[in-house]
Amino acid sequence: MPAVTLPPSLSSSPATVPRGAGVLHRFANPGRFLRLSGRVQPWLWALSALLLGVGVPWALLLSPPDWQQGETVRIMYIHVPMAWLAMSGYVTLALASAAALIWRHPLADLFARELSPVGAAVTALCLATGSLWGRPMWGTWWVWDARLTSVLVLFFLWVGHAALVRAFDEDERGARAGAILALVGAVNVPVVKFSVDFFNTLHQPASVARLGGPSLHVDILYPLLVCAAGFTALFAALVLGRTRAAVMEKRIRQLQLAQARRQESAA
Amino acid sequence: MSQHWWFVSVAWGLGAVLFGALLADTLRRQSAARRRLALLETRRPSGRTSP
Repeated sequence: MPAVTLPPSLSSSPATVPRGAGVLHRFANPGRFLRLSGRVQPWLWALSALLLGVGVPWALLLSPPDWQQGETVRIMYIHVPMAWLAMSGYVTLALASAAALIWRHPLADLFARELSPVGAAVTALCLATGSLWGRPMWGTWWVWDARLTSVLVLFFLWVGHAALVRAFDEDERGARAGAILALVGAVNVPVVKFSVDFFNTLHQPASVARLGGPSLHVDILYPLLVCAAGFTALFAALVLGRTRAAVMEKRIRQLQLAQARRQESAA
Repeated sequence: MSQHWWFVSVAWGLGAVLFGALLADTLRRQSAARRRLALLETRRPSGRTSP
């Protein structure tokens, strides 16, 4: 009987592991990844459910309205975590792309491919919730200031990556093109972060991650941090779940191919 | 309900719809792949396997 062998993109033979990437490649075996992620994933779902179960009622019902923004401040409890996830997610995408390009990590390509639609979704939600906050507070849905424009560019980068990796017949060519785009686009992340410091923008400067410590009152800061932790756990669980599905789908294609070859040789 | 609450409701509603859709899609893909993989694994002849 012909043996079913994994292609180089999913195998992790020690002979092909580049120097310095041993630890990374230990977790590159699809079987090991499925086992480990299968153990981690239920905890991530539970953690996100717990944190959002506490954070969302706290943000929507228990926290006080802001003295300037009134009830509209409650949009911040979803807008700010989405902004943080959009940026930190993109840094993760760039790191995964670097691992795929430099060390040829077998799962980094699949991870990046599954990360970008979720990243695009949270960035779109960040823009939409920001717009919904801006209308009552600024009197406009949108302004072309440095922060808003750089986040819009970040959204286009996410969508561009998601489209580019799926645009080729050969998955590996798409992954390589996407990885290059992700690395080049990483230049935009510090632009997003520091746009409110370097430019005169309508968007307010950072009020949590800043040198002098958070400027928010604890009544607003604590539910914000709980919501951010909850959304981060949910984001991680979603990306992990999608990556697990992608690994299994790749395995299915290999088995179907092997089955077709067997039938062809038997005929 | 004040006008501010409408904006708050739409923002959180969008979040719920978006994350609900992502969650449903992830669970659907995972369960479909697991089912299909189990079916193919049982049909496969014995021999070297991976992963």
